[in-house]
Parts: sequence; C-alpha cells; structure tokens
Amino acid sequence: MSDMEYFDNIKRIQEIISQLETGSLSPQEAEELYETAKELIEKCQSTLNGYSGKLEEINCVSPSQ
Amino acid sequence: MPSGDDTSERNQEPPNITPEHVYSVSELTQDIKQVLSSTPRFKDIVLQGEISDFKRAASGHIYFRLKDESSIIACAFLSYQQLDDCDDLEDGLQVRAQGYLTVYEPRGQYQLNITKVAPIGAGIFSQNLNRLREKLEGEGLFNQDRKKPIPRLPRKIGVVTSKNSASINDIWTVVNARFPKMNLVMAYVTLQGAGAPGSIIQAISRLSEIRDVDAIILARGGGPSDEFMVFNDEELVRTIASCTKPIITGLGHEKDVCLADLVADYRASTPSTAAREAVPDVQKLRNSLYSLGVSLDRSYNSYRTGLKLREKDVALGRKDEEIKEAMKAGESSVLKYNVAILALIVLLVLIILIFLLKG
Repeated sequence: MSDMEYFDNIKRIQEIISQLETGSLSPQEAEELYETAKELIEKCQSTLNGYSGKLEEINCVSPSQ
Repeated sequence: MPSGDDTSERNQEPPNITPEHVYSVSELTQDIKQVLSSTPRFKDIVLQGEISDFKRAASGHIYFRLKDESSIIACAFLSYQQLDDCDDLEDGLQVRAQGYLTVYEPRGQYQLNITKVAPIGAGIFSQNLNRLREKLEGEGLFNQDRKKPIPRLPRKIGVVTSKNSASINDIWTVVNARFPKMNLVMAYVTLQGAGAPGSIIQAISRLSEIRDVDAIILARGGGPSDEFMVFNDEELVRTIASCTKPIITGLGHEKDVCLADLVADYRASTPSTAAREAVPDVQKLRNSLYSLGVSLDRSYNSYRTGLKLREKDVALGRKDEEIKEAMKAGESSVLKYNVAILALIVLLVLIILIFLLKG
C-alpha cells in the first residue's frame, strides 16, 4: 500500500467516525460504515505489519577508488 | 615440508631489514620539522591561495587551508600574530599569507604559520560556485514550489552514502529506534575525489528506477569544507532536481549550504536528522491506529445506544398517546353519564310537577 493509500484510509476512518457521531444514519447504513471502517483499520495494520526489514545493497563506488 | 606457497614462505621469513638507524615516528617528525625550519627559503614565504575550512578556535587562533586547483596547505594564524580581529577572513576569500613553514607534530602535518595576511578578493572557487548558484537559481531549480513532498510512510528508503562510514551507523540507529523493519536499499558510493559526482549520480539514478523506493537520503558525515565540494557539482545538482523520488540531504556540514542542499526536496543538517525525516515512527502510527479503532467502537456503540433509547422513547410516546386517548374517552363517558343523570333529574322534576299540578 502506498503512502497516499494508507493516509487516505485513515482519513476515511475518521470521516466514518464523524458520521456515526452525528447519529443521523439508518441502522443499516451505520452497520455498513462500521464494517467498512473495521476493514480499513485491518488493512492499515497489515500494511504496518508487512514491512520485513529487508536490506538491499547496490555498489556504485567509483572504479578509481 | 615445503609448501610451494609464496605467501607462507613470506610469512615464515620476515624481510631482512638491517638499517643503521631505526627512527621512531616522533624522531622522524622532529627531524623533518628541523629541516623545514632551518631551510632559509621556507623561513619567510608569501603564499597565495583561496581560504577553505576556516575555523576560529576558542583560544583565538585561526586555522584554515589555502588551496588552488590541485593542492591544499594547512595554515595556522595564532592569536598573538593577529594585529586586528581578522573579521574579513572567510571561506572562499583569495589571500596572500606571509609566514614560515613548520610541522604540526601530533599529526605529522606541515603547515604555514602565518604572521601577516592580506585579502585580495573572492577566490576562483568561490566565484565559480557563486556563478553556478546564480545560474541554477535563475533556472528555478531551488524554488520551493518544485520540491516534492516527503512521504509519511515510504515503502522503501534508498540511502546514498559511502560504505563503512559513520553516517551509516547514525542512520541505522535512527531506523532501529523508529521503524526497525523499514526496508532499505543501501547505495554505496564514493564521496571524495574526481569520481565522486559520477558515483552519486549513478546511485540516485539506480534508486529512482526501483519502483517501491519512495524516498532517497543522500548522507555524509562532517569533515573539512573541501570534501563537500562534490555536492556543488552541476551535473549532480541537476540529477537531484530531475529525480522522480524525493531526496533528503543530510550533509554534516553545518557551516556551508551546498548546492545539493538547495536543490534537495528537504535539507537536514546531519545524516541522523535526514533519517528522522524519512523514517516514520511506527509506534506512533500503531498508537494512532489503535486510538482510531477505540473511537470507532465507541462511536458505533454510542450510535446503537442512542438508537435503542430513541426506540424506547417512541414506544413510551405511543403508550402516552394511548393513555391520553383512554383518558379522553373516559372523560367523554363521564360527561355523557352526567348529561344522562341531569336529563333524568329534569324528567323526574317534570313528573313531580305534573303530579302536583294534577293534584
């Protein structure tokens, strides 16, 4: 997941929380949004857990060295 | 048993060195110092060159290096030799310095001990650098509006620096503290000498071709200002400007800002601060995600509680209505009952009146 996608998801979760707080949603809408936000949180968590600490090396040292 | 191996034979028999005299390092240094000091033509010389790596020590002594196109000589201008405050001396200034050659023994380094110094204008390196800076500035290469944003969560970070340098340890320390599992691509380069710009350009180009490298750190630890000239190379500056990935410079030279710093998308003062800028704090990200989860559950529960309360309110409202209607119905029955009683009373009174009248 790219940087943009991760923070877009965070923004969407925050929007859903605000929508739930207004209390103006139908029970079905509220449940759907809640499930969406839960999925987005899991997606973000799996992004953070997806880093492996991989170390690659490229040698660009000048031949004269 | 003969091994037939040249190396092992060399190891077994050390070279036969039988000199007349074996110098210690200090002895030889002192001898060289003696030779320099006693050579008449080195006792009073005038040296012209451009100042670089200018430093004023707390003691008041001034140290710098004088350079031309191909050489550098260390200079010391001790405080008791300074007739004025020497405020006009700085890097990039062309000067004529009078003094005598000597050896600074702790480093075995020959140097000019200055007795007088006279500025004669901007040095050629300084002039060339200023011209290049103005040219690139005129092309808009240093404009803020063309700088790319630094990603807040890069997938991989490219690091351009020299292998085994102190800056690598500084960067790893920051990575381990902030995001130990961050993926890194280390591009080892030459940071000094004629091949340095080409080596760095190659590293930046190769890193920019790796799809998931989202940011590049160009790092070098501290050192004399001459060693930072590589970061003023025009082709390197243009490569940084045209790189599709954001570049953060962490060039540990606080005093001067190199052209690479000016064109970079973010300038950090050291390799460590560059790493802090590029590597997010994963614990903070996790905490913020956890808080969002808690807020989401709280909001949804509060929504559901509100919903239940509203449903109860509605049910209570209905009951109220029924009671009211029942009460209304009851009130109307009482009225009807009262009217009937009244009618009966009136009828009874009429009957009594009729009987009385007949009687």
